[in-house]
Amino acid sequence: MEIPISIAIGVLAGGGLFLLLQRSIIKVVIGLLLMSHAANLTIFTVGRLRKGAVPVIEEGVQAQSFADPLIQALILTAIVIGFGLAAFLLILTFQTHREVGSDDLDDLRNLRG
Amino acid sequence: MTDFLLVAPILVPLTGGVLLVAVWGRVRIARVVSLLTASAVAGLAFYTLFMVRDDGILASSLGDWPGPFGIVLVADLFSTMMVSATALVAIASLGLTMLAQERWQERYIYPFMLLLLAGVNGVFMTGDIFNLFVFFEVTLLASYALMAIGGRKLQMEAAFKYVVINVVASTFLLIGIGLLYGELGTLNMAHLSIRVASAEDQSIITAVAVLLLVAFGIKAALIPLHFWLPGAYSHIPSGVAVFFGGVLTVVGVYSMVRVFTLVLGHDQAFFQPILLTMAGLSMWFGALGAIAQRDFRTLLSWDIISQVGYMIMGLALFTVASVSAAIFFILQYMLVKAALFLTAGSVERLKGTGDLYRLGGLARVYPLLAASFLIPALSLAGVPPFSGFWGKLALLQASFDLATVGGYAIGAVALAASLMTLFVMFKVWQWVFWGEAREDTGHSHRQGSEYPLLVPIALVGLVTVVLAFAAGGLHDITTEAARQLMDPTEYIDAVNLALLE
Repeated sequence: MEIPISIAIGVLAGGGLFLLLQRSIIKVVIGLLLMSHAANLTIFTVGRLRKGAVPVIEEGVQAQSFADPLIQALILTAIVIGFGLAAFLLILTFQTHREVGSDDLDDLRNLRG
Repeated sequence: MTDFLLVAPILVPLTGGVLLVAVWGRVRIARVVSLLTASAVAGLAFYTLFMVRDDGILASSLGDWPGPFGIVLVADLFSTMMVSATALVAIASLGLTMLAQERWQERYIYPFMLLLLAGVNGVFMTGDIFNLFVFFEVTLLASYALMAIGGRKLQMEAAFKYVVINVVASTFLLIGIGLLYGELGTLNMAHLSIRVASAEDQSIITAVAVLLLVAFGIKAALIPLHFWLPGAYSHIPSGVAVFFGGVLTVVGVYSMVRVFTLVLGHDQAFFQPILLTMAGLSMWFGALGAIAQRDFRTLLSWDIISQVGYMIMGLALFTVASVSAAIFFILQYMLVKAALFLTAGSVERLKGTGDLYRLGGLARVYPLLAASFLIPALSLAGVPPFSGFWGKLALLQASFDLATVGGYAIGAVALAASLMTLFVMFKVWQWVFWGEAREDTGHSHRQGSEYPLLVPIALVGLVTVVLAFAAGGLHDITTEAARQLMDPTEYIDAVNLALLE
């Protein structure tokens, strides 16, 4: 299971990096979001992927293998932070577009003159 | 009592910030509340500092979850000194905001400044590496908001660049922390410190070191990861710039010192040459970049990069003496830099511009403001007897005592860059304060009295003077702080892990 997920991480990170290097602001924003998904999946994978393992071991029950619940908590925290960030970035993009009237980062840079 | 003292630097400003959101728009109330909050944090921080000095490292587990399972807050000498200095800078920064900012800006600044203070203190106090990431995000979100206040065109460009680069840095940090957890199975920094040496796969630890180096390097604006900083710090409101310049980059440096001593200390042979190179490049090219600027605040921002180089130099040499020197340097730097950004903000307030080539002759009109620029400026350049001199002296001693090629080389670069900083400060003095007043080409004059603006400058300025004359005493404390960092036994004992292997 690790290998397909690793490939998915690679695709997400590569796609994110590609979009990050674009000139359109909205593409940069989407690129950032893809990168953060890649980070979340990385954490998910390094926490060992186990099928059918219990996260919480009850007293008296001998568990064969167990899943780590902390990983889920970490990713959940990261996702929530990512949501806040996405909201802020979209507002920033919107405001920039309203002020500058363009979605192109080069136009933004040329303001300095 | 201990529990309260450790939570207070985070909880008090957080409560204040939330309160200010509740009374949105009432600027007078916001001024009083934010100033009281920052003063309360300062008072509590100094009280904690003296407690830690007398009783050793304090730790508190949140929600009474013991050891590695719950989140711990730890107050050692380094973190409490940082919290104390940060609170002082925050008071000064709020002071300039009250005096220099437009009313509509003030409405946004106070709540976010308090949230920012909570986040920064969280980074300083936490003993859990994932929590460090979370507090970094709290800090960054508040700073993004402060960055975009007003939404002017030029500001948007700087803000966008700042947000994008910091999000990328946070992603690196998150991946690094994830890998560390996957390999060692814990997030508690004391626990990590015990387990890291016996990790099966040391190459993953090295990969983590690189990821964290890049993440913290971006936040600390080390060359070659510095390019976002100068633009970002020169387009924000001047009161906010004081806090950004004095504290925000230092937060990156702090995290680097904390993680590289406590968790990754054994990997020193790998990162020492990298850190030394980055420190040397930052010192030299930061100062070189500063010379070329014609805007007061952009010049000071470039100089931040140069100063960060000195701090990382202390960490990279990795002896008790050098880390102690770095801590001394960081503490005095925060106040000196805040004082310089305060003078820049005051000049902008009085003359309506920060353009060096349009200013001039201010020493005649505002002699006290000129004097209050001179003290931090000379201190920054390391002229005796000011505080910066003692910081640099200790750094140089530590590097030459090592008697290695790296030590001599970095010492030489530090000396040369120091001379360059002096030159930069002379440039400001000559163009802003010295000589005849230049004709303002149709720029708005906002002439006024300099006296109120002197209050925040005097607050941090006098503390740097006190630091300079109490350098011996402070040096003893920073040596103790460095000893706590270089030998984590005391830190680990204080955290008192429930499950010690």
